[in-house]
Amino acid sequence: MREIFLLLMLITTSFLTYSQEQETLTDPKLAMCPSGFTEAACKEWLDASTSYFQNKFDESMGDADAFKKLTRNGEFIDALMASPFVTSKLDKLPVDITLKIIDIEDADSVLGLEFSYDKELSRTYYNTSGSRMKSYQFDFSISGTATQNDEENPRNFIDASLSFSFQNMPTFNEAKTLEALNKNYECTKEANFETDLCIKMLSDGVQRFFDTVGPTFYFDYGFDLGYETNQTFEVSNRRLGGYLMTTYEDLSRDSFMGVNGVVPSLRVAIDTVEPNSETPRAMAGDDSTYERLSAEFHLSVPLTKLLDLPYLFSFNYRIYDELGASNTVKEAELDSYRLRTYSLSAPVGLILSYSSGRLPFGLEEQQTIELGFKTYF
Amino acid sequence: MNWNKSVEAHRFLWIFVRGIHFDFAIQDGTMTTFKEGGKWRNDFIIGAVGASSALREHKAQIFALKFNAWMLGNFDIEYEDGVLPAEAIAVLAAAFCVTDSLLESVCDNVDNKYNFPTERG
Repeated sequence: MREIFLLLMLITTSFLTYSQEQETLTDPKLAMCPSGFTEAACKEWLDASTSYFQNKFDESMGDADAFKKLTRNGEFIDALMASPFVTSKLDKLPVDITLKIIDIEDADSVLGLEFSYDKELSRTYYNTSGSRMKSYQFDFSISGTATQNDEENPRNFIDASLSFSFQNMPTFNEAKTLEALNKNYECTKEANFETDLCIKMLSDGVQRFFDTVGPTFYFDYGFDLGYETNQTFEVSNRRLGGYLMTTYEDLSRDSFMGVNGVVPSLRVAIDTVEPNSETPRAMAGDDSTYERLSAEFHLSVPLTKLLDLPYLFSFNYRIYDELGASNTVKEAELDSYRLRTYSLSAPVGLILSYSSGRLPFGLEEQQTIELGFKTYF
Repeated sequence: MNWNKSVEAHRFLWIFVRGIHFDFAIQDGTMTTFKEGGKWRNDFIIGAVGASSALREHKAQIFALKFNAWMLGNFDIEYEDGVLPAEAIAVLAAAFCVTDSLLESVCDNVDNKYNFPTERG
């Protein structure tokens, strides 16, 4: 119990220090050190503190690998993250943080910390009449995965971007307004909404509401200014480019895709990328600015009707290809990156996920398996 | 406020999600309850499991648009005073695309941005 309390204190102190930091950080680890420390002194202090804590923990447990086992115990991490104490601290952070156990082929499992932050800075609708809605917006986002040791991180890729984008989406104005449903407002009341009759009427109403819209596309396109880096922030790319994103959905449920709820999405972008001197590409001998084509294809396939299974199958495929890469870059196999992810999930969480490939900054192809632990992950 | 079936906004949120994913809500003849539904993951609900953050935002926007249209098109639901449609949809979308978030985390956003009949007496 004492050891668990010490671990909670270490994590909480780290988060509190980071959330109260007012200065712009050149290295996120600096946030964990007392003010006035130089970067070198901070790193030394962190390494010493972490080693001291780990050694004390292992000694008290009588097991030289106790701390290592603790950080790889999915159930413990799940309970810790769901605890009211930790939850109350995490809720105060503007960044969403989640811990995950990531299994790596031919390597030990690692504890990964996924984070993300999205902020829509402004949005303006300039056409909302008729069947299509058009708007433009500015937004900022950052996301990534960090592990205790950056060399173990199979998804060592943090992406931040400032975007200006246009959206062209259906208004659903022509969706059928069901007078019958209005008359069934009684079904939405607390005493009725979970009765068999009302469940059927309300659910039928939801599905039929969009029938008249039929097959439709959702468009999102624009420009973004981005910053890509690894978790140590030593390797980075700056990028400026344009993108187009689209999703197709048959809301009429007349086609195979509509009946089975199969929804494909595609994102294509072309960027001008400026790497720093620490990127694998620069280290291989080419630090020039280059053009890169990237794309992401995503397919969401409910298996309920297709295979009578209560799962959602998702396929995600991402590519990053340098256009006109030099022989130096090609020979170093740094001109092209691929990542395929197959996921099987239920409404309450991930069942299984398998990833193969690498993202920019990754030097080797890796296969990772992610197992769902309860609902928090 | 916690996920609560006494709150009309929370019920409407679950009714819509249950309707959209009806085949998942009913398993072996047993319907998922309101309480259980609150633990559904938003990345599953919006169809963005395994997607990048950019695509997840895009899918969240789509789902928020549909939910907004369904509520306003079928029931006597309005926006809260001073809330613009763009704001309401943006807030919902932002809530739905939070990494690893659950449906119950969205309920207060619905309650804060939309005005339901029982609130008007």
